[in-house]
Amino acid sequence: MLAELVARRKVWEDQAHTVVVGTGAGGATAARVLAASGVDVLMLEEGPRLRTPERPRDVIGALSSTLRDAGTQTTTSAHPIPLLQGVAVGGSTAVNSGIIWRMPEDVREAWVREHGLATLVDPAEMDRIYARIEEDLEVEVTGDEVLGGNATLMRYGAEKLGLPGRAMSRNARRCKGRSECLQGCPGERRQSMDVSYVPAAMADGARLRTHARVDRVWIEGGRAVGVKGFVVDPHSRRPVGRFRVRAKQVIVSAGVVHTPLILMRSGLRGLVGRRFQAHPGAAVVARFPEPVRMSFGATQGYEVPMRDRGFKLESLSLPPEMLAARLPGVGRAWQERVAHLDCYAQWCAQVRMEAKGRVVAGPLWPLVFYEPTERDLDRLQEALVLIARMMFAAGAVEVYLGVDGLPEVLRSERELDELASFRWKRGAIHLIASHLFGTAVAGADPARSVVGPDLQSHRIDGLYVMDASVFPTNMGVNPQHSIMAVVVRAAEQLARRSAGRRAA
Amino acid sequence: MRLTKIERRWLRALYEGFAPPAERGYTADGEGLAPKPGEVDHAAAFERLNGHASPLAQLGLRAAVWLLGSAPLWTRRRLAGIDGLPVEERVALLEDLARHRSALVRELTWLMKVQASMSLFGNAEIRRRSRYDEGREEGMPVRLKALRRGKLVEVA
Ligand SMILES: Cc1cc2nc3c(=O)[nH]c(=O)nc-3n(C[C@H](O)[C@H](O)[C@H](O)COP(=O)(O)OP(=O)(O)OC[C@H]3O[C@@H](n4cnc5c(N)ncnc54)[C@H](O)[C@@H]3O)c2cc1C
Ligand code: SF4
Repeated sequence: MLAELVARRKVWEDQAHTVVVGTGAGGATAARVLAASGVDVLMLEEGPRLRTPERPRDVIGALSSTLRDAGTQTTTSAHPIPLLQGVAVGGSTAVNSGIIWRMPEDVREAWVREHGLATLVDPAEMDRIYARIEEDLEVEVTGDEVLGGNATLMRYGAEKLGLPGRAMSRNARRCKGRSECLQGCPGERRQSMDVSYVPAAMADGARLRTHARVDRVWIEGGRAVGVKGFVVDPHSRRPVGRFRVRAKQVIVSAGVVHTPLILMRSGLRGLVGRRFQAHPGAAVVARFPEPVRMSFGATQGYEVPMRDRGFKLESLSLPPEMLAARLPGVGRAWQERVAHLDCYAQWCAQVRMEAKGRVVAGPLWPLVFYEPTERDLDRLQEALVLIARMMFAAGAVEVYLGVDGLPEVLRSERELDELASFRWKRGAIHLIASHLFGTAVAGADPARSVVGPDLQSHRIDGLYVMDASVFPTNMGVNPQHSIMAVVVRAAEQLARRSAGRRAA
Repeated sequence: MRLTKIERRWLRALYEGFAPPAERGYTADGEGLAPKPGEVDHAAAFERLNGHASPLAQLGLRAAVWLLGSAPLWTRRRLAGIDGLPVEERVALLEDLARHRSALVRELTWLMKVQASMSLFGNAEIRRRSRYDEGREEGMPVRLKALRRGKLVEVA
């Protein structure tokens, strides 16, 4: 205790032209662009830098070493929804499946029309930037040779029902189908930020400090002049020291939950923390009569985008710990199912929910108020029923919806029809959300947004937000590529301005 | 998050209810997915994961251990913890709790099953016996067969 108090008083100090808080999709991209144009960048990251061979392969190790609160951070509501966010160099990209989607045109148009973001998402510029990121991150459509049984069965089910499915584009050209994206790609084939843009930024001179949790932006005379924060212990994550960094500009990229908290602690109010949005989802498991072998194949390889219905279906392979937990039964009944662990497939649905929530600091820990609407839950139910139909079409012998209060095991489509005929109880579906948006939204109108189209705070000069927090809406597709593209666009403009100021 | 002695006993008894060990008369189908006695340190696995959990989740997990651990008392009116029941009765008790009329009880039972699963498969030897990873070594092409009108047909 005494040692902790003494350590807390230890301070390290540093300075840089630009300090970037967080090294996920947004932060790493900002650092990469600025460092490449000669700006002196310091990246501050709360989590550790884990080289792939050091990353634990078991789920307990993976969750506790790379996910915020070991994956137990949830919304504050009657039916809490786990919110998955990475805390490590690479942020959530260090644990994601590398699915790549460009921003759909209807979303881009809505941002221009309703939020005044025409310059930010200029179509010609966005096309150029997407192409560059796709080249850098080795984006490619998942080949048949690494689809694996789980995704191949999904393709078969989708074809049977005439659904618009396709193999996913992913940032893992040399994927060997190890199905371990969550634990970190063993051969570093998936180009998450920790193995791509962070090292690239460092090669261009950017510096990285890990275990550095930024507490607030240091503001003097209405201008950001640096950040202050805590050094955290690598194991306990408790503060063991303090730091202070002076900088000419500050980029906050701490993710949708923590970016608004940093802004609030820095004295920003108004819309900060509001307009939280997500793509919550759930999954269905099915047993097949012959081995599916989920352990082989891209973690996620096949998708059925149904944007007109408000959802997207995806194959999602699981490590054995998580797959076994999804199988019905207790005791011998459970063990019998677990004994055939190679015979299961799992497909999930992500819903573009209309619900909007709010992140607040809370007296003890951060609170995320968020409650799906009735329409959101109807869409989710429709999506799960459709997955179950695809599974039966693909020849499943048992389907496990995993919906509380409904039969654990379905053996025919007739049983499914009965369940589909009424609305399932709120809270009965185990939701989970990994695509989060909003909380420091961008827009031309300061009364309706936190940052402008250049992603600079409307109120504080030199303070930028560059991550998913600036998204004024969710999108209905996987967000990493769009986050990176929007950040490249803003960071290029910022780099030009910084170069101009340096020359002057 | 350190468990007390009684919590450790209950946790072990609970996990043995979900997956009874081989020695208790349950045949270890699939080459022994049932753990061997003493093979898994459940308390260590629980503490390892939950040491990093949010304060609220830690509270919830502790509540789950207490609620399920003391379930013989409030469901069966038996003056015993779950470790006081023979394994067959533990299985029956957990089945009841998984279908309990209270959603909270059902949720906490499910939560403990997830924990039990993580603890079991976090053990390298049990994971090996599950043969989960063998498919990875075999790679593509995966021959997929599915049931169509009562017959197995090749689909991919
Ligand atoms: C399991 C999972 C699977 C996913 N799969 C896909 C997918 O396949 N395709 C896709 O497009 N998207 C996917 N996503 C979503 C995608 O990864 C995220 O939307 C994206 O990474 C968000 O980028 P970000 O920069 O906003 O935040 P993050 O990438 O989460 O980065 C935030 C960073 O800030 C750091 N940080 C937080 N607070 C502080 C602080 N106070 N001080 C210092 N550092 C701090 C964090 O440690 C983290 O490194 C997935 C997400 C998860 C969790
Ligand atoms: S599926 Fe495996 S090999 Fe492919 S990217 Fe993911 S971890 Fe890497």
